Amino acid sequence: MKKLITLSAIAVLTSGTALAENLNVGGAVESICEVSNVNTTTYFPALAKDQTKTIGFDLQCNDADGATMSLTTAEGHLQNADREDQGVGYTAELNANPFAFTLVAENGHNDQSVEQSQPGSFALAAGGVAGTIELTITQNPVFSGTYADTLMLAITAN
Amino acid sequence: MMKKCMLVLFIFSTFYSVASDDVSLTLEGYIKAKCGFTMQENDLQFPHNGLVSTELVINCNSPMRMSLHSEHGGLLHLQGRKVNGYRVSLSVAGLSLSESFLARNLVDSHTLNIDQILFKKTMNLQLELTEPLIYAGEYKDILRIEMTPAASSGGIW
Repeated sequence: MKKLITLSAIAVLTSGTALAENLNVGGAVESICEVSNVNTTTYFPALAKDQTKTIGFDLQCNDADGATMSLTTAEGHLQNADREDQGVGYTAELNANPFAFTLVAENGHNDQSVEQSQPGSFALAAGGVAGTIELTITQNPVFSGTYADTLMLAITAN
Repeated sequence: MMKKCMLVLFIFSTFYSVASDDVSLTLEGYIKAKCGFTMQENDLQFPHNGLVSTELVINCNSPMRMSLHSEHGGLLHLQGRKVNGYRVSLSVAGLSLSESFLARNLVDSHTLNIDQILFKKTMNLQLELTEPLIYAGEYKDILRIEMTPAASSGGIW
């Protein structure tokens, strides 16, 4: 007589166990909105009508909604150092694609400003925009002396 | 007296030879197919160089299928809704396994069949930006990784 003994350890047959996990992937970029490489002093050695000077600058603003640029004249013209009510008018034409606008400073009213808003773009965000401000003297000076104004260029994220 | 003793010994010997038998034992076992892994890091933040990596310690006792799914197909800019692409690369040291995928191709879950048994193996998972993050703000994606024994059907999606 033969005896056959079968020992089994068969578990309940099911599909194999799987595992899933979520990997959270992220990044952050800080806000940059700035004008750089600008010469902050411009001098007309012999002030006269129709003279021009060009100021160059670089622009970057990485806000996805774009930016607002503005030009503000403190004195409203090139003010005579000896007589504040006397001055010489000028215009400041800003071009920094896609920004393009002109400030007219001829009446001597303080803190006049012109601004323009533009949507965000890759070039503006990446910092590849070069711009210029062309200053043009629009009036002839009457009095001798020193004339000055403070022109403020500003850029703000939208 | 001497004859009687010899007779007793003979009978005992005969009985012993008749009492033999054969016993066969068949031993079987079953181990359930199982795949699991742990991640070194569940939250990955891209640094300035656009390259980040983590390790997955895999314990899978059979060939398996690995699925990858990107929720946004890249890094979603939360303030601007733009999606920045990145590449997912995975490799296992000492094995020929090395794959690479663009996140935009993982919006529809991509399945990878792995014939090798990755038991107590470490997989390197590297993410690389394919374009720099330009716009200010936060970026986010969820990369879902699933490992299933190849012998089984279905998954846990």
